[in-house]
Amino acid sequence: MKKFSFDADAQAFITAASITDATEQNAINNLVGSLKLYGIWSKMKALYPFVGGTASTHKFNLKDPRDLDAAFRLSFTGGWTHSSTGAAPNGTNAFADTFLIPINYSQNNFSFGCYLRNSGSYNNYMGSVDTYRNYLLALSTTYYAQINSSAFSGTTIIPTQTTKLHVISRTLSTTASTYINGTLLYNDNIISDGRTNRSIWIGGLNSSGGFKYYSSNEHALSFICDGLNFTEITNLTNSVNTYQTTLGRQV
Amino acid sequence: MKLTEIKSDQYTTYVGLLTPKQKELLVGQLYTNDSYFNAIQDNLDNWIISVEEMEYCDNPEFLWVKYLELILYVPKPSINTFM
Repeated sequence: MKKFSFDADAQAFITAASITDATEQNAINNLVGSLKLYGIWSKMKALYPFVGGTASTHKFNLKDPRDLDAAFRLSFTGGWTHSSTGAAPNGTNAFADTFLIPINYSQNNFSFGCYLRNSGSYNNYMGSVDTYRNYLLALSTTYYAQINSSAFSGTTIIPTQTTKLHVISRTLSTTASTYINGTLLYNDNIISDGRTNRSIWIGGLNSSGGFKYYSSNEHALSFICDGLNFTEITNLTNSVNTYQTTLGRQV
Repeated sequence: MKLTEIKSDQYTTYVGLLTPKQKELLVGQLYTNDSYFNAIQDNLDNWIISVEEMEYCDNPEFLWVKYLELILYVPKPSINTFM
């Protein structure tokens, strides 16, 4: 009788992160399978499923689960609360460094995002900024999202959905698109003109200035990827929603 | 006020007050597995750490953080440096 085995990439992560719970193992395996089915897996550079409930399990990158900065393994700093539902920064001094620096990647083929389980006050979900901007940032009800541009769009959009999967993606030099739960929030027509030379943080903004915009939104998945089109974002959203539902932590 | 005197829903209100010497001791150090201290300054330039770092610290070398005096947290004024 043939023994069931997990996808090799899923198994590598399960082993590295010491995930022993069968539900979590199956959720990871199904997430990887789904992303491969939709052709998204190969585009992923960093994918943090925040499974296992501790900093030691949450730090691993599902795409490359080596315990190395070069594998974009997270480094948690400040007051994080880790649980079975994800990783929650405290909004005071907590961030996680991905070690992934946008300047090393294509200017017009880049995306990132996160699945959030709650709303906070000062909210920088993910990002880095120097001369150029890469961030998903919400200050109360004002939402800013930019990718690989020096100009500040100043777009004020009030989202009706502040939880679930937030994605910003650039596949053209002329437009970056922001989605929440698979629905287009807005197209930013700011032209890309450069990439930040600072690594992307989760839970705060890796800025050359003093203010870091620490947030208190719980992350149940975060990712950094090549640019994604509308169909890919739809498929990614459905895959992530299924993943969260399997783990009983969907919102 | 001390850590034992507050409830979890007050964690975002208070922070632990450090001396400059204490702050230097925490630079680059772990408070628990795979989690680093991050001392920052408040609006009066006091060095502080979060209640989470104090509560979750199980590094024997730094258990003293659990006995830091708590003060109300007032962050530095917001500046739109992301613009």
